[in-house]
Amino acid sequence: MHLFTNYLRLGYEHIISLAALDHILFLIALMAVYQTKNWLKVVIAVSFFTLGHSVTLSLGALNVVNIDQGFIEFLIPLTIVFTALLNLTKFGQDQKSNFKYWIALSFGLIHGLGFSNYYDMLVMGESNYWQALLPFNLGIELAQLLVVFVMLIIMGIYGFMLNKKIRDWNLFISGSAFGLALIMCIENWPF
Amino acid sequence: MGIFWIILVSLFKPAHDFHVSISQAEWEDGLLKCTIRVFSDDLEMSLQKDYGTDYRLETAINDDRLGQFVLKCFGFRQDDQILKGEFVGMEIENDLSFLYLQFPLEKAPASLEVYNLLFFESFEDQSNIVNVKCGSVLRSAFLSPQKNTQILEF
Repeated sequence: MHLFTNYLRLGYEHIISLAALDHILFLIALMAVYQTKNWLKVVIAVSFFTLGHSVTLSLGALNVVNIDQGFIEFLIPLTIVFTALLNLTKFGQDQKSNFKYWIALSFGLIHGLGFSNYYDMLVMGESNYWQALLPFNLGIELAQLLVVFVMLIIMGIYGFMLNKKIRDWNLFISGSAFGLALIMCIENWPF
Repeated sequence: MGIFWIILVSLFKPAHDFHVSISQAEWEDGLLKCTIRVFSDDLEMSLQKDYGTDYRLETAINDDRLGQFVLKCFGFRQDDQILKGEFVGMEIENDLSFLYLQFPLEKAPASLEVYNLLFFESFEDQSNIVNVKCGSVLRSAFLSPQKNTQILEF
């Protein structure tokens, strides 16, 4: 059990630390269109995101993912730019649509590429897939759900107490995420 | 306002710095054999801090100072006595370096205090996991700059 909780903690602390701000920025952009009452849809979308990057991380075992790290550093903020832009369209603002789940899953695959050298570090000998990689991924999911929980509270306060519309919130969050991610894209321009 | 944006942007990095090392130790036939996995760039940077910016990991394998450096950071205590360890060697594989150590320990330990201070001076968010197997019992320590030693009971 010690082993499991230690790897769980490693994943959790990795997301909660300042190092993973791009991860958090993506989550905030992803959930910007949802009202607090649709919290379950947000949780499902975030879990699809986790599933996506867990799959890429696990592929590290097969050595099939071998993409230039510089290109990945460009692709990751590009997913945030795309998500922020999608939030400005009518289609992207449809809270009933399941399309966001597939966006979260596919972009999760890309974010997982940023973890490309983690697999060999985490899995060795006694610390096999189930004892190391699974709790590491669960720790990441827990941390992401904590971020979602805090954001839902902030959005709830914004919506109910300040009587503001989700549309204004979405514009503010998506605009900020777009600006920050676009600068990251330019800084990591690979061509 | 401009400075605020510069600071904010500089905090966002697409590739996360993952400051972690994972070690595996197993007691067998009077010997505690250990493998420490570290990111090669972290190791080289720390060695350069101690031994100068010309220090290269590729040539470190033939240098006694590498073993001294590792044994200064990583080890075990039993009954408040530091176990005398021996640096066996190192292998470099892509981004990772594998450091091999061994500690003579006649009897299977009932409890061991483990410490691993690798890179704590360089990174505030460094985490060092040390898994120790003794017979069929596997224990794991999670070490950080705030808590750099842990007692494992078998």
